[in-house]
Amino acid sequence: MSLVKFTGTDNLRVRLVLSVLSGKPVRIDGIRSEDKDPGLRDYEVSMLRFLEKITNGTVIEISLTGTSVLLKPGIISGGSPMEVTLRGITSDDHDLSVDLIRTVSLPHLQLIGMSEGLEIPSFGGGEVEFLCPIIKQAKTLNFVAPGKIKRIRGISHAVRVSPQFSHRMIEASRSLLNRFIPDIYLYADVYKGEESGKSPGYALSLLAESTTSAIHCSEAISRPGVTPEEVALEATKALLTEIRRGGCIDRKHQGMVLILMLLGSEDVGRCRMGSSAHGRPIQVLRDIRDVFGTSFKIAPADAESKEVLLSCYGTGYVNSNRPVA
Amino acid sequence: ALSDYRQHARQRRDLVRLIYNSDLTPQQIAHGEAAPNKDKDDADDDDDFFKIKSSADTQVVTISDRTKEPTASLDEWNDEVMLDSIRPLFITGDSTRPVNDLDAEAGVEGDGEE
Repeated sequence: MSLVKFTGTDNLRVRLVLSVLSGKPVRIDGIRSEDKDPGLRDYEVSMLRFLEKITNGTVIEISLTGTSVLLKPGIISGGSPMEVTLRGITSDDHDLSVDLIRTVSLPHLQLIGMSEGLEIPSFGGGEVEFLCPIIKQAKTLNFVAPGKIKRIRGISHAVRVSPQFSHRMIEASRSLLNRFIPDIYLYADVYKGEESGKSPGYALSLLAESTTSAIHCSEAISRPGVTPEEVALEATKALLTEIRRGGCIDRKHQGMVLILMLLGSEDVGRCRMGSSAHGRPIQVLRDIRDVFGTSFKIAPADAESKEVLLSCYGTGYVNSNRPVA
Repeated sequence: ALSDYRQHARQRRDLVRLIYNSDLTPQQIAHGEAAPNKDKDDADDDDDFFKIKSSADTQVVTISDRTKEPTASLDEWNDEVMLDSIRPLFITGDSTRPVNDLDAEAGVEGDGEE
């Protein structure tokens, strides 16, 4: 099967996932080759090992310097529900925290018919338990009505710092949010002692849910010299920016949703999305085209907004290892 | 209305073309959405060849591998008018007023939907 080649660390994890989903071998060169600490990071190697574990027959070759990786994917096991414990950290400023993955990312999978048994039953102290059910096939995704925001939820957490910080963040966030809707619930999550892990800090994660179950989210985490109020306002303003961008999909989840659309049954999936200032979804579109050969149609959603309507013909992805019930 | 439609059709063609058939970085494309074709030869009915950007202004911007976008300035939300402008997006807001009409206060209604 033909080899797909990429260069650099852009979308590295997405590219590996696309390789496994498509069964096509992928080679990525030039991984931080200019960096003074070149090559794959430990967490990336961990992810490769993870991909190896959940598949049969995967071959991974990493160059001596770690700047090149060749992934020849096997077949995803998929025979029984998955239970994993992931160790490391539960939040940082590059990727979503476990709070948002649990409350925002997982619900997005309902769009393709995955809900029952999909959960993060426990987490904390740098450890996350993840349960994933098996489904036979991904449903065609059709999500074009953004709806109106009906409620806002949030988790204000403080770890190994004054519990008061948590309440200060909630108060600051409400100073901006209260004007919009009454249905706001911000939960103060204070960790103490054993369960709190090693690193002190505080963070505010927010989500806004619409009448059609579109979920937008944001979060901000503490940095040295930044007050709880400043962290809270940063998260809150970022949520407002997200809401204003519109569409049915939070920007941090657009790439994932594009892949879900790709996997849908052999029918046209459609989704309305707000524009991204960052361009990452565009890179995902290109990577999907390079690996799967699937191009999306993209049209302005309407005359007034900058939102776009994306559509694509699903690949009819099927879980071939699912036992017959 | 016809010119609106034309403009529309053009935008559509452009985005698909830019994403799948150009060498522009995703970031350049994303930014271009706000100001398409800022080059001077922005003729109207162009079916022209791709514009080749000189290597000087195609600096390599890495997207890298992170989910969270670097935070842009959020100062705009210190403005009450700005805060008010998104009210229609909430169930409690007045839905007859379109969002983003800050600079078009008067006579916004009566626009056909296509």
